[in-house]
Amino acid sequence: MKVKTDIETIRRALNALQVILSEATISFNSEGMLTGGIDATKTTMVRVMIHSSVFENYQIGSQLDITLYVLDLWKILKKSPPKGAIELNYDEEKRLLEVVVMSEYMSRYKLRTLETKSLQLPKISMKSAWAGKLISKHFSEAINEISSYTNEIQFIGEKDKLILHGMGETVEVDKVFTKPMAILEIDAKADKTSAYYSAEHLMQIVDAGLKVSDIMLLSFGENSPMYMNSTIPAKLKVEYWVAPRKHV
Amino acid sequence: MMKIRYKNKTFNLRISRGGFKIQREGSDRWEYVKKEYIIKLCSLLNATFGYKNQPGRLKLNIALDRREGIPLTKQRPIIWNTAIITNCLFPEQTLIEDGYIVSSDILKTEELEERMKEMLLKEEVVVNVKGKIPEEYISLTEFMEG
Repeated sequence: MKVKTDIETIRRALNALQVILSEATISFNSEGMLTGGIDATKTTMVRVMIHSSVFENYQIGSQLDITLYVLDLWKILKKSPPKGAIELNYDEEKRLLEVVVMSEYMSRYKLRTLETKSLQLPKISMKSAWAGKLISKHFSEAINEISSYTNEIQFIGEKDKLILHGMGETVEVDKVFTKPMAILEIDAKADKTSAYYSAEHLMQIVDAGLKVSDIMLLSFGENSPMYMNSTIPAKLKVEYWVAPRKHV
Repeated sequence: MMKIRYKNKTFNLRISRGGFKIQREGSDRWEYVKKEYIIKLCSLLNATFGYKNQPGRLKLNIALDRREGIPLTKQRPIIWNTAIITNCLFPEQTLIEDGYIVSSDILKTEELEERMKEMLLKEEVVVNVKGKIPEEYISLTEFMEG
């Protein structure tokens, strides 16, 4: 296998993956590069897809799955220059992934991959009652601030707004998102939908989503997972499913 | 694996291959932790923490290639963090003297873990099972189709 693309797309994709998983299977097929998985605590699932058209050189033969320690690849990408190209060559026999980073100069790495596991991306059943298109930057700022007070965020979706509510030991905070500055579109099936999620989980993944796209698609329902989608059309799609918290 | 609580947050602490690793509960990732957490950890261990040139973020990992006779400041941070923490756990064994690592005896994982458990049990500590779904969540498995 031999594929080549720009560093930034791969970096965004890997960043989205590494906040959840330390080990993952990357599957290359005719549609592109697909990866993801569910974390060990079964509370967050990520799915990352890079379209094949993004790759300048996409030679994969038939479908190929590679399982690797994500943080090894992330370490390389994190330190790579912002602009440049990346080439991935896989030696199936030796199970070695060669990563070549090309910018002002060339860096070559060889990663030992792990025993191949099939990519597990189960379909998550959603009872979504509220959906909206949010400005990623504002959403990320709000999540980050609330998480400094509490580890639980209540999402209250209404017909014309979204309220993020946090109750700390001494501070209670509300962040109200309305159209058109913070939300672009709202699709509310009920007058009011309320659900609770972990601030810590959201903080990491919303930040990763922000690095992908300025707009984030969000949907949730009572006692249902939250779904988040950050997409660069025809290029990169990052999706997360976050388990709801039991509110007592 | 042990669980420690700090600022209403829960962390899993484990020692593997002679190394300390810390993980925020609910996360799948063993990661770098802020200095404040390490200081708290040392305080839980009834130990002092302080060494100049500390980076803002420290990693609790024990390196296996601890070298003798090299000033701590010349060691990679990962090594001297390790030495400091290990010295906190085993104060009777001098590993660091005047900023130098003076002993490279690699402590056995089991012994280190036992010592940590013993000390951490003074606080609220429970043994965690890897991959256990935190009780406060409804697992994603309940929403999986098929």
